[in-house]
Amino acid sequence: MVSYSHFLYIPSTILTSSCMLSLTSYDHTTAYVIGMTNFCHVLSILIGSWVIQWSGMITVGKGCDFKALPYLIVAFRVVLPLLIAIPAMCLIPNVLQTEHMIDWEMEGWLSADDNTNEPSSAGLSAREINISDGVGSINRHNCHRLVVANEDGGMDEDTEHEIT
Amino acid sequence: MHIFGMFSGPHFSYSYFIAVNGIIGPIMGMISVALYEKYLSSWRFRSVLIFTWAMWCLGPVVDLIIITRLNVAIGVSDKVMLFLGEGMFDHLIGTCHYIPMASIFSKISPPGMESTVYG
Repeated sequence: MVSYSHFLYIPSTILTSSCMLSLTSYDHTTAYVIGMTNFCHVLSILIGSWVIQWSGMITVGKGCDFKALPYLIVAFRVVLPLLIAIPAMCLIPNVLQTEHMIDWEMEGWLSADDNTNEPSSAGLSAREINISDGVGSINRHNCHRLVVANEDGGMDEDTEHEIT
Repeated sequence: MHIFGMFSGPHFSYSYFIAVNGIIGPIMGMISVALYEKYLSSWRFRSVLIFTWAMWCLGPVVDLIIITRLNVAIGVSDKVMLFLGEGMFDHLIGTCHYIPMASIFSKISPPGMESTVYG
């Protein structure tokens, strides 16, 4: 069933998306995520085999015995997924399906120089961008709004811009 | 109640299993998309995911009914139970669970990196 794998993709997607500016870190993160995935997959298979053996079921030969199968189904396909997945879903933002989840502007993904949706190049963080526009300087330090400073040093609140 | 000692069944072939899943699955997928759009699209992410996951966890109950032969006791054949469970219910709930998950992926993909992250 595809549903189990979805719970893996959400943290791995967020993890890898946070290091897209550097391909090296992206490769390392992807290798780490895939390694953990394979390890946990193999581990779950081994645990499942041990549980079947522990339950006393005989799955091969003429004297097959599946008396414990209903209990295993209830425990490991009904109860356990509920106990694990329902609390895990509380980690998902409780927003409407039409709302945005991540403010990419605040995360520094939108560059101020070309005003496009491309991420900042050369690892330059959009949180620290200084732009000279001839009138004043535009400073952006750990905030997602631009504040235009006049040449006399005063701040003009009316000229506050937002990077889109 | 006689169960599981040397239980005979389920009384359908593997070809029937593949055919039912292959034919009923896409049809139920289209129906579930329409149902999701009508009833679940206005829910919050957390609510709809918890609901669909709880429903999905009820899917093995159909398998349980087949294994325990309760369907035979109430006069329902194995083929019909497979049709209702694996064929209809699983695809219905699976698609309803997949839609909000796909929506979440589309929202957490960084701008300009959608194909890289989503692929």
